[in-house]
Amino acid sequence: MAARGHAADTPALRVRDLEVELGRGTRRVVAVDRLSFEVAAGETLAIVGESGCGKSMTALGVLRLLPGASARMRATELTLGEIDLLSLSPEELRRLRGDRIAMIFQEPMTSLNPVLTVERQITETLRVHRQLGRSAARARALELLHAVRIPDPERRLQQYPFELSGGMRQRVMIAAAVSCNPDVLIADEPTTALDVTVQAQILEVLLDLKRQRGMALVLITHDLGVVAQTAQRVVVMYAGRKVEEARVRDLFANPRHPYTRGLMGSMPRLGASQGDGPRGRLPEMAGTVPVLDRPAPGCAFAPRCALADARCTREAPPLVAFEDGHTAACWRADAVIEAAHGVD
Amino acid sequence: MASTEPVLEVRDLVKHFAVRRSGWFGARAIVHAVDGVSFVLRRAETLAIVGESGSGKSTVGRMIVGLTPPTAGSVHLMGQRIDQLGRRKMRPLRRHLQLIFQDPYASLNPRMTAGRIVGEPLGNFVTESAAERRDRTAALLSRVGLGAQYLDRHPHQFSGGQRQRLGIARAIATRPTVVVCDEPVSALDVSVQAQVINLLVDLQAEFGMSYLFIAHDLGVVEHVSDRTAVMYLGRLVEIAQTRALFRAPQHPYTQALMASVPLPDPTKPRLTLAVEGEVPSAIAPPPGCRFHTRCPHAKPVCRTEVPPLRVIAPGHEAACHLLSG
Repeated sequence: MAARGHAADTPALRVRDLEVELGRGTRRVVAVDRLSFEVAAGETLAIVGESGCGKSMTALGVLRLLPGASARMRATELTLGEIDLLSLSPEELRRLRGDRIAMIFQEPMTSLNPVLTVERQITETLRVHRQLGRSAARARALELLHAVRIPDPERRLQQYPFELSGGMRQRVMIAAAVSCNPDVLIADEPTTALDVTVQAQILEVLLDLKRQRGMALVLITHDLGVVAQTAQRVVVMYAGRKVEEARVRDLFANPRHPYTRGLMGSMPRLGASQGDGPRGRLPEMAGTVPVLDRPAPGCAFAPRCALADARCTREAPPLVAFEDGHTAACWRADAVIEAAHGVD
Repeated sequence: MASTEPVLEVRDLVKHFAVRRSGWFGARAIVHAVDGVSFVLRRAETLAIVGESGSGKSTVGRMIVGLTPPTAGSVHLMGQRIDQLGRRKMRPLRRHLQLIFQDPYASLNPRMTAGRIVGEPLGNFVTESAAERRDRTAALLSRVGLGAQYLDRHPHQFSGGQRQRLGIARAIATRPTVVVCDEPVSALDVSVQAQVINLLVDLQAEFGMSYLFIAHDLGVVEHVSDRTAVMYLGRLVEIAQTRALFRAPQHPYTQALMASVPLPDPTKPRLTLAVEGEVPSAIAPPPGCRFHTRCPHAKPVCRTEVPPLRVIAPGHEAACHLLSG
């Protein structure tokens, strides 16, 4: 099925200056800080970062699914194709979710209803959003289970989530999420809880569905391997902010932010033992991800950054554009490149 | 560097759990968690056990440290059989065999201070004054990168990485000969993971401990281990020098496992589907080679006969009918 028609230059999802705030008063935490990104139909955008960087809060903020009174979101723009999500009523939003924009989570057990059969999990969405009758919905559910390549789909329809393996649950959740052909699918760590052989299968299913349906896929992950093998573009987040964005090839060939470079360096790579010489130490980034309730004025990464100078601890660096849509928020971005070439 | 002296040996370890299939009156079923695993860990060596969920790798670790009794087989620590020793007889040996858990939070007593958590293990084996113990404990904490200011803090006041450092300090406090590390870095973020891996490698160089390193992350395993054993559904399918194993994996499962890892390099070929399906249930494991239901090369013999581990190159063993000449 082709992507639904909007003007070629309208992204499937556009987010401008998204802010997510948790808690109040002295316990106030800015979980997402003026984050902007867009993703086109048929494109995979990865949002990568470590725990606490704000990547899941970004997803919940976009879907306006933040937990009640304790969390607030703001944005200057939040559009799904031509639809302005900020102007919709809660009821209108609810109708859109699961239909034009859908989400899948790391642990399907928490988002699948434990007392509903697989058939009901999938047809519920279809019957609500598409007003399909029972048998039409059932036929569609079966079709979807085939599409996510679940073994023995007829039998699965009558099973409950607890009867399925983790990989099969994730397939069911994907089937339910794409049942109404959403324009945008947000997948939050969809394979993190899975074994590596099953992860490869699930990523394959997601990418196939994206290609066939022309969906925009926002893939939230901590795994740079998954990013490299699935995405066209990447947003790197640190402490609630976007610190770098680039096309995948450019990011891996030429990371501009010291945090991105640190992440890549500290990850033990398959095949690394095949070089000559003894096993070396992994390059470390000192310290840990900052706690966001005590924001410092400068760059949030400065305390861990080997290149930081006085300005870095004083002033937060703005996002600066380099070539080909590559942006990075670092006062020392040029030094990063020099340091890298000095080492190479 | 590793010597050839074995410090830990397991022979034909088996673990079967009895479970009920469903409900209170359901039929009893046997989970074949581990089925005949043997290996040797040498002095100052790191032997990794890698596998997916249901492989039995953690159960092997738990049997070695005595957290779960083996159904059959034996565990030998420095030449002495330990799997049937009672608590009392095990006590003098306990200090030589320590464990580092995946989730340091669950393994640290929340009511104890860091000082007690780290000071207590060796306190069980030596007599010392309170001041001596405090000095020794502070030195240990500082060795794992936690300053003396942490002595009086409780586990909840530490970050995940700091808690794992605390767990490591506790494990090395008794100067053990063997440390079983069960997924020691898999709960940590990448940047913290690198710090903890480096710490483990440094401590090994300093104290000459042997690590049995149980993990699912192949990149981590390749980085830390001298030799690697691959488990699938309760059985060892391949064991070799790490460098040789990662250069040329021989068992079809090991090959599939390695091909499934997404490489952090967009210029490398896209993911190829290495293997279909999921790990079958350990309640009714497939007969013959347990991997035959997913193996792209399976022959009739693979469905009926269990392939034994065979030497296929010096120091390299694999259990596969296709490799038997």
